[in-house]
Amino acid sequence: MALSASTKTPQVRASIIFGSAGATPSNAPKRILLIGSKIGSDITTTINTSGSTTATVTTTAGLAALDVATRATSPDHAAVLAGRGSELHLAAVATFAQYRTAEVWLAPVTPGGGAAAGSATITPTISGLGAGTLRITIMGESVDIGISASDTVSTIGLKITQAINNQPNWPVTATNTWATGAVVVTAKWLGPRSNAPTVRAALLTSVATIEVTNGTAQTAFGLTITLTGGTADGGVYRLSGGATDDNVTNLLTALTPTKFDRIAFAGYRVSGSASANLARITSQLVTLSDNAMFDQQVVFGSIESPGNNITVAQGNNSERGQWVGHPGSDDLPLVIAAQVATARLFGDSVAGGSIEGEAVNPACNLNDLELATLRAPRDSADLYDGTETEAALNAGVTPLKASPARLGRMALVSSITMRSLAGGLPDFAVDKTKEVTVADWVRAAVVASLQATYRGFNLVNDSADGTPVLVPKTVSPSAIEERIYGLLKDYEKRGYLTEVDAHRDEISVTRNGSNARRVDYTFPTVAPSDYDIADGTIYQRQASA
Amino acid sequence: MATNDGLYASKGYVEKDGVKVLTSQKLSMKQDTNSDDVDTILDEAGGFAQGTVKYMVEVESPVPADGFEIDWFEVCRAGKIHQLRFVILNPNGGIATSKLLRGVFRNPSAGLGANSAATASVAFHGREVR
Repeated sequence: MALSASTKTPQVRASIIFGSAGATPSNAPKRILLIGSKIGSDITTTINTSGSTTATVTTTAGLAALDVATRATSPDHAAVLAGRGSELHLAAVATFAQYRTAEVWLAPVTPGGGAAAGSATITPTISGLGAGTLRITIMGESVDIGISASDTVSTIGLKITQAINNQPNWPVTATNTWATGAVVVTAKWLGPRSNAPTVRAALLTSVATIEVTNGTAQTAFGLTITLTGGTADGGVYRLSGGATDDNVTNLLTALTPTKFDRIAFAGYRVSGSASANLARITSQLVTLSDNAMFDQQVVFGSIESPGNNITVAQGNNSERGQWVGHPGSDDLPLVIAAQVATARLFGDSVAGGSIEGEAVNPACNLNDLELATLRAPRDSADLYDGTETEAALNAGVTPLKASPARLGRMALVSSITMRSLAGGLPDFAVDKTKEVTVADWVRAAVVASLQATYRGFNLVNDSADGTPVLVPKTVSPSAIEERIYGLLKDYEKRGYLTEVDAHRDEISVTRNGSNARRVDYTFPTVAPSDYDIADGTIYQRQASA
Repeated sequence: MATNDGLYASKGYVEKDGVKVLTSQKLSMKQDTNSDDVDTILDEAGGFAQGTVKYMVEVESPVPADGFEIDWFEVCRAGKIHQLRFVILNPNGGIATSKLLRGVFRNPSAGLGANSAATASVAFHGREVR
């Protein structure tokens, strides 16, 4: 956004024009903001321990205030602030797992009016019951329950309920109906994002593991398990019925004075369309970049299908947003976003990788970035295949892939922005997230340097004969231009920029025609290209006779 | 190639991190190529080994009555990387030549003597920014 010529406040500033031929832009991004849901009030879960007796389990509400950001210093602190097993708590766990000393802030959003939590029902039925093991898996984590021939549907339902409620870090609570043994699993927070947790069961015998992963009932050792009330999604079964989206507007307003280097939020749809919160966040980041020079980027984690991911990413098309697709995932969208955002900043050394992260090197290549705890989908058919990966990378979606080094874990294919269109046509002028990160870093560095270097200086015109102005505490446009060139060459030496000399003529500093106390400057930033592809041709030959 | 009409450059300055040092009374810049002769014993072949090209700049300034123009002692103690531009001015206007260097300041000194201004000097060792 151009500064008005009538502006009088002394300042040094710069705007970024992405994807242009000429434009401008931090140093060590460190703060991670997680926006999501907390446990709003204590959840008292009733467990029917017989036909006439009950017990209760209380899940304590999070203490953090709504619609503001509060710093969490550890996973347990996050549990206190957001409630154990809440969306925000689980995302904080993923963040600290990627980088233990990350500066993490939690921002719980006020739930929508009349919001409901997602749920699903696990129903046991028996016929000729024998001994076996029932495995209940929530969000990829399992507990095994011993079943004996003397059990009834009531006692099995009770066992399932107790097993689930004994897992305080799980995102759900469970209640049972004594007569039928049916167990209702309910998310700990409200709204459409509460539909994301997965639930499944497995019947374990000495010779087989029979999974119950959708609405089709499965039977073994006389026990039948049926899942109802949820939604089959690829290879997983998710909760359903979570409704009424929240609105991040008030939160964003409250956060306006504060810069967060990376913001993580769930990428989700409501009634078939992108949540309005997505555009609210990306718009806010663009506005704050223009108005306050905040070098912020948002990462959306998504469990949507590859096709839906493309539709939503292209619909948003923001260079300050990253849409990470992980269909069929057991991990929550916010967990995906949080771990990718953290890994981008601080690298993957925790997972044995060698990528240093953007905090150390804004131009680092994030291909194959290892994600510490994100799980591979239960069904490998949900993984991005080659065609889907190519389509995603052409449409502003960052796909995940199975880690080549760690079985069952995930890695980033390539870190790209959501911007893939210009005027409705494909445009990759701001393809990789590093284009944004480098521009941001350089802007902050140049602005900081100019502020420090010419503090208290007077501004005069360049002399007509090209002789530098040789007066104490006085600077002219050409001297500032030389300084900017020197700084850019310094950044090139560090590996953050390239082609500085090739674009030397685009560095321009001129005195403003209307305001004699102001210089207007422009310069380009060209981030070094990632080494993505090696395409060789190998000639097979026969041995000479 | 500049034409020689009998007029020679005699003025210049150094610029530290974008700010000109205006009160120098002596400036010198020296390039050390660090290349080495390679002389083999039997065939007496004279060769050369390339070295790292470095620049040394020395700056000496009188000390104004109100104190240093730049306190080189503080600059050197901080030990940071700096940019230094060595500029020779064209007497007809403009810059005759300049060289942008990146390196460190070291060996600051200050001196006093009878019948002379107090002086402060510093050396800069760096490589060309290119």
